[in-house]
Amino acid sequence: MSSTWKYAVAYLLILQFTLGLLVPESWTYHYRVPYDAFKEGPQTLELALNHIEREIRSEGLSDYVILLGDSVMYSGPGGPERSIGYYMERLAEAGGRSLRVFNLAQPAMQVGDVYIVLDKLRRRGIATDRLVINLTYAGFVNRQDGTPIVYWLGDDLKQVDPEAWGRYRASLVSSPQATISRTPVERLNAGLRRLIPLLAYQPVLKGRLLQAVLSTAEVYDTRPWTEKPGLPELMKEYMYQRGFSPEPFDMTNANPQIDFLERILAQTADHPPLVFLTPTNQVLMAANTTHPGYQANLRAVDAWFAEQAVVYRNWESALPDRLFTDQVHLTPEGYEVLAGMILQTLEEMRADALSQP
Amino acid sequence: MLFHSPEFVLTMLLTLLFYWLFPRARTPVLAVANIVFYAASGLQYLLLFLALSALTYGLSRAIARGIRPRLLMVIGVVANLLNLVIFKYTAFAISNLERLLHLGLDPGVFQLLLPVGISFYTFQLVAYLVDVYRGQVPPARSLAEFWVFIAFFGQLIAGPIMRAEDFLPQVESQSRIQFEHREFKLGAFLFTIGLLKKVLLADQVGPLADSFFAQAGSLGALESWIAAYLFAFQIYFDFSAYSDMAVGVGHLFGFTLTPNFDTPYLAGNPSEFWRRWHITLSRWIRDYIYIPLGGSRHGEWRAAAAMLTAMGLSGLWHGAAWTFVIWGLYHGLLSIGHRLWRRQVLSRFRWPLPDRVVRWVSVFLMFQATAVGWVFFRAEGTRLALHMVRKMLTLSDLHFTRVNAFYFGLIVFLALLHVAEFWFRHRQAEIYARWTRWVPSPVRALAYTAVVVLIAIVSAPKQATFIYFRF
Repeated sequence: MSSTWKYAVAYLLILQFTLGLLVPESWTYHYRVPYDAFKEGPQTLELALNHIEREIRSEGLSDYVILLGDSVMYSGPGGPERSIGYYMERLAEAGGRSLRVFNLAQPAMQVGDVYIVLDKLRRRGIATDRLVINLTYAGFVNRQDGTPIVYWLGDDLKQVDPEAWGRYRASLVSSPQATISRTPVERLNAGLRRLIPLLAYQPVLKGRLLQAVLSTAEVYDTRPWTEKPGLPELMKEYMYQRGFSPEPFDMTNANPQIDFLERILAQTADHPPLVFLTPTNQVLMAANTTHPGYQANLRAVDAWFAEQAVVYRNWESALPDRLFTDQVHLTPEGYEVLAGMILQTLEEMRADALSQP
Repeated sequence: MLFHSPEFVLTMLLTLLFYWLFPRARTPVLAVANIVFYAASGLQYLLLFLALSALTYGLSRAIARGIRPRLLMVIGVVANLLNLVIFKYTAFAISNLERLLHLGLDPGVFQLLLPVGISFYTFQLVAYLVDVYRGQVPPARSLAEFWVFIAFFGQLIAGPIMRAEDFLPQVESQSRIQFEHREFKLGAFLFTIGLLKKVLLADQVGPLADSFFAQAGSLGALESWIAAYLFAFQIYFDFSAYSDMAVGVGHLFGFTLTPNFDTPYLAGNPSEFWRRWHITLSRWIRDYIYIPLGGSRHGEWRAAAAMLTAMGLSGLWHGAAWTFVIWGLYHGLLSIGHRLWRRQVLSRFRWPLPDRVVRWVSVFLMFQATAVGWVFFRAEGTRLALHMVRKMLTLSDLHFTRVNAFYFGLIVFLALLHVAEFWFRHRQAEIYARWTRWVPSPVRALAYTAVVVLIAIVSAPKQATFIYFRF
């Protein structure tokens, strides 16, 4: 081997071992995991977890909250410094308390993904005793030919829960929406992307490189829904209407949503999480939310949670429509309000826990 | 398994390791590697390919022994072509029949998933059989060696279409191939150049071209030209990237594969274009279709008919759609037109301009003609293609906007890159000598590392496939 090749191999090896130190931690986690990187490579979540784990250990953190859920918990369409986690920390700080919030939610995450992230946290020894999960009405709707119960992290389900894998494998593999390795070659690809640091960091580095080359900054459209022309018409399309279906929910564990919620609650029995039903724009979606079937379904969800070891809040109609940017996503002001509601509930839970003998 | 995926690189490195460590086991190592690479696209297709290869090998041995050679050659050619026709053209044929006769058939039912590389390996198998029948090459000595020749993973999916006379002797003598630093470096260099072309150019230009063709029906003249130019560069960078990588992989194993491209947009006329674009396909069409149809030996009219037939079939080989046939016929007409022009005009007239100027004007005009052809190749249907070409040629609906100016700037940049590639290819040895003489090893290594890192970062986890894979 010529000396040039030896140098090149040495450089590449050095890079593999030092990449984690060279890449600023804010690139993998800044009040949340950057979605652009996550959707290009879900292994970005592992990099963010490394960062969070290091922070918890090095700073000896004990007072922290974990947020899990979908695009509402992620706080789209606003930027990271307009997100729920950010506002929770600022509000706590304003109240004279230092609180760390780790937001691991991602757009399109389903309860199956939440279950897997929860397992990842527990395997790393990250405490999940102050856990907040958001759920949407749409999650309970019949998923036949719809959104897969594990949207992003299908490759992890086999390791996390072989029984669930056996039950849902076929539906995940056949779902075009599910991010999952379907062939041995795809599994090898996914494995290499986790194993080799340069490939693991690829989505994060690519995003930064493109930003630098194209000199672009992220644009966040957080206008209130009333300023977005065509939105009411858009909401009439099937893909949106489907999520508000008034068909009666199946509240048994034959519904994957219920099945995975039961699996999650079995994991968190020692410290029940806060689970809330995501606020919905009651004006924009009035035709749907006033439907008797829809209301009956909400009551069924409330009744189901009343039987579970969980602190549950139905905030489906808790926010005024002026705080929405569309049917469920909020303006920065809306996320600040929601952050306040979460924080207050957590405080109540803490007070309850302290008052227990 | 795509060349620009980590799983390909890993599997290739393992194959290289075994190949160079165990010289006497090279044939089995490559035979197994070919099976692994092809199996990644589907086990059933592998079995089909293996069966056709075994059949062709058996027939070639029998032909060489003089057992009903003509009949066996015809059986072999028909079997291979039938395989291609069934998979690639059944739905196309049914949809045309349906359009003509209204039989109530659903073409969708006959739409089969195309085995990867089927068009390429069919042409290699047919050429081999015909060459053995003609006595131009002896048959392969063993099925394993034949399999390594016909299914070499470096070029199996999208060429170059290797001929037995060029590649089979190399395979049969591979146990004697010595490891040479220079050869290996050349292979790594070509592979890397191909990767860079694919991830930095083709994959970046592709979405831009797609966005124009997605609204083909509403494009004006300038936008249509922009779409055609962008696709011209996308398909060149994409396909030549694959070919560079294929030739590079060949060098890594000590093989010399036939280059498939020679900066084709610098061609000054249609016949030169086909000597520089998809060179191995052009030769195949010439040797197994055009010349057997009479070539230019029987007068102008027969030559023109042979040319149109050959180019029409070449178009059909690219895809089961009339747009591809029109593209092929269009190039056939260009070739016939150029032949007439050369005979009737250029033989009696000399341009009163310096040769260099005439040359560059020819290159410019030929590129425009090529770009027009690409519209038929890329557009979603004949109607949209004709709409775009009409706009391009009549220059109607001209919109001079800043966005259009940006795209023209990009196109000029891509054209300059093409010229730079020509310049670089012709001074490769000299540039490399200077690079190694003037730049110290650690700095060169740093540059190579930077290139590897750049490729790893820019390539998407779900890689965009190569355009020619679908053929």
